[in-house]
Parts: sequence; C-alpha cells; structure tokens
Amino acid sequence: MSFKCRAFALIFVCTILTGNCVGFGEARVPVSDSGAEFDADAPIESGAETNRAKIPVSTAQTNSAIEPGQISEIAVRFTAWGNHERYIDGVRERLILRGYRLRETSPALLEIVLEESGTTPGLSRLLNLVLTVGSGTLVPFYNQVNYRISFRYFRAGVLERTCGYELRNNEVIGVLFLPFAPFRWSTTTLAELLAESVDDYAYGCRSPDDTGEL
Amino acid sequence: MRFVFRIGLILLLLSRCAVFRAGDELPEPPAVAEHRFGSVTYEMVNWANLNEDNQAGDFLVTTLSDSAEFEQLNPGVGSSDWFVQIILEEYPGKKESGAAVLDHPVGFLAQNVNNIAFGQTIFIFPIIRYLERKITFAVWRGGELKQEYTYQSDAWVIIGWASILLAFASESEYLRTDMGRVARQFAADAARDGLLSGPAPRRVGR
Repeated sequence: MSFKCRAFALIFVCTILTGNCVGFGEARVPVSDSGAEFDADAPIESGAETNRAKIPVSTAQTNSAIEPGQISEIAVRFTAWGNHERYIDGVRERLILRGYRLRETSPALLEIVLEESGTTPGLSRLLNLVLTVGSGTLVPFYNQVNYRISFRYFRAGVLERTCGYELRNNEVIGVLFLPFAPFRWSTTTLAELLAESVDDYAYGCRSPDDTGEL
Repeated sequence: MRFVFRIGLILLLLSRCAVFRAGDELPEPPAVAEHRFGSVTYEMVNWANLNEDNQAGDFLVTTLSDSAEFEQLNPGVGSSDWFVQIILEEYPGKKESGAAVLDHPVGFLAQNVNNIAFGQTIFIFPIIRYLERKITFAVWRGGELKQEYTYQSDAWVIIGWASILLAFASESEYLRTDMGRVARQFAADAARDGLLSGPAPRRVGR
C-alpha cells in the first residue's frame, strides 16, 4: 500500500467517523403558492383590530371563543414532522417566547407543516458521490436540503390565514470542513432557520430579509 | 469526449434501480364499494418530493375515490365538515446527513461503507437502501381531530450493475401500486369506525 493510499484511507476514516456535516442555511418567502393566499397578517396576539378586519364578518360573529382584545390561546399541531421530531420542542419554546399561549383544548388551531421539497438531481448526486469517494472526501459532498414551512391558522376547522417560508440547508461533507463542524453542524442550521421563521411569522408574516421589529 | 460519453452512459444505466417489497405480502383489505361516504375534503401533505411520489399520491387518491362511493371528494385545505389530511411522514427517510449521524450513527456508518464499496468496486457492489414510507390519515371534523390512522409501506432499493441483473425480478410498480392497498385499507377502516359519514355537524357558538 503506497503512502497516497494510506493517506486517503486515513482521511476516509476520519471523515466517516466524525461524519462532519457543515450546514449553511437560507430562508425566503415562496413566490407563489397553489390555492392558499399569503397575506401579511397580524399575529394573533397583537392588535385585535387589524386581526378582526381580515376575518370575514360571518365568522367573526359566530366565533365567541376568542374575545377581541384579549390575548388568545391556541392549540399547536405539528404535521409531517416525522423525520424532524428533534426540532419540535425548540419551535414550541420559540412560540411561547414570542407571546403565544399554548393550550391543547383551544378551538383556534395553529398547524405548522414542514414539507420536504426536493434536493439536487439524483444523477449529479451520484457523480458527486463518486468524485467524493474517489478523492478521499477532498472534493466535498454537497447535499442541498429544501424545506417548506407553513403556518396555518384554523378556527373551527376552517382555514383563516396561512403564511409560508421556503428554507434551504446547504450541507457540505468533506475533510476540508472538519474545523467548522463543531460550530456549524447542519442540525444547528436547520434549528436556527426554523426559529427565524417562527419569529418572522410572529411579526406579521414578514419577509425573512426584514429584521426590524414591528 | 468519449470519456464523458461513457460516464454519462454508465450513469444513465445506473439511474434505473431495482425495487423490492419489504416484508410479507399483506392481505387485501375488505371491499367497501357499496358503502356511502359523505362530502369529504382532502389534502395531500409532503407528497411533492419526487415525480414517482406524485404518481403514487395520485394513485392513492384515485383508488380512494374508486373504492367507495363519496357524495363529494374535493381537494382543499380545511373544512367545517369532514377533512382528511393524507400525510407522507417518512420518505425518502433522512435526507439530512447531519441529523442522520446523530439519530442512527450505525446506519449512517453502514451507508458510508456501502457507498465506498460501491465506488471502489466500479459499481459491482450495489448501493442498498431501505425506504421507510409511513402514511398517516388524519380525519378531522369541524376542527376536531376524530381519528388518526398510520400505515406502513416499506421497500428495498438496489442501485448498481446488480439492478440490471435484477430487472426481471424488480417490482418497479410496487412503490405506486402499494398506495392503492393503503387507500383501500383506509376506506375499510373508516367505514368500520363510522367515520366520513353521518349528518352535518352542529354549528358551534349559535
């Protein structure tokens, strides 16, 4: 076994054992959505006046569970988080931090849907994999993971508001990124992205670029 | 140029994979063709991943509407009457490597060793993957969660030269057709539990 082969083998073992996945994230508002409208709505707890204006009159009359002007309580349901249960507690804490009161039995329901929406095409992934393995992970493996998070507000089963963001986690796996691994592990990136999107939703479904407080 | 062409040809060949069902063949659910369901709104959640998944999702809905008689079966989000969310919980499994390392370190290591063996043996040793598909039907009525049903539809996928040898035995249609089994099973379970039918709900707050 030549020195080169041994060096490659060492790099392999290092990379596999540590499995360093460094992530860089980005978030944006989806350009178009099929069916649902993306209104920049006020959050449920701030400004009952603006809130009420958006609700159709008939619904506002029949609904007596939430008094206007009061801080409302909502039930939260996480849909399609089967692969991402580790983030649920963080999102729940973030909602509480932003002033939401969570109660299981509330008639108002906030449903948070996390959908996976594609990655790099399979053929280029395969080519990337062959290059990465062939070079002893000197050529990094790039794994793009796209998500779409939707916040939907239901009252008595009827959808009233919806707000969504597209999230992207760019994972790079390779020996050159080993020094960054302890600080920028890819799960940290997704947790940050989710927390940011909760914040953006709470500030009236604002754009992710907008950092000013309302 | 010839090199690029060859690589392209190899990759095209390899992009076809062999599919096999995981576990035993499950018995066919009882037919509910004469059963009458009310008006139902349904929504597909997390199905927009890949083309084949979309086909599977379409097949699921088509089978569901054929397997029983519905007063109405319309796509939509939310309803004051019956509302069914068809959620694809797990597929194609852990896409994010960072999470896979923490959740299943042994599986991740085995996958990496598999990948290296695949690359080093010029694709003779195949990539073997277990697809775990979990489909949940959440049945709502008037904002109240009535029942949740979860069904499993797992498969083995083999990529490499072996997939060409195994092509004659591959159950390529399985990923799609097994969704029909899931839909019929759900229709049977919903009919048994008396869901998706009955008089219109009472208005809340009047």
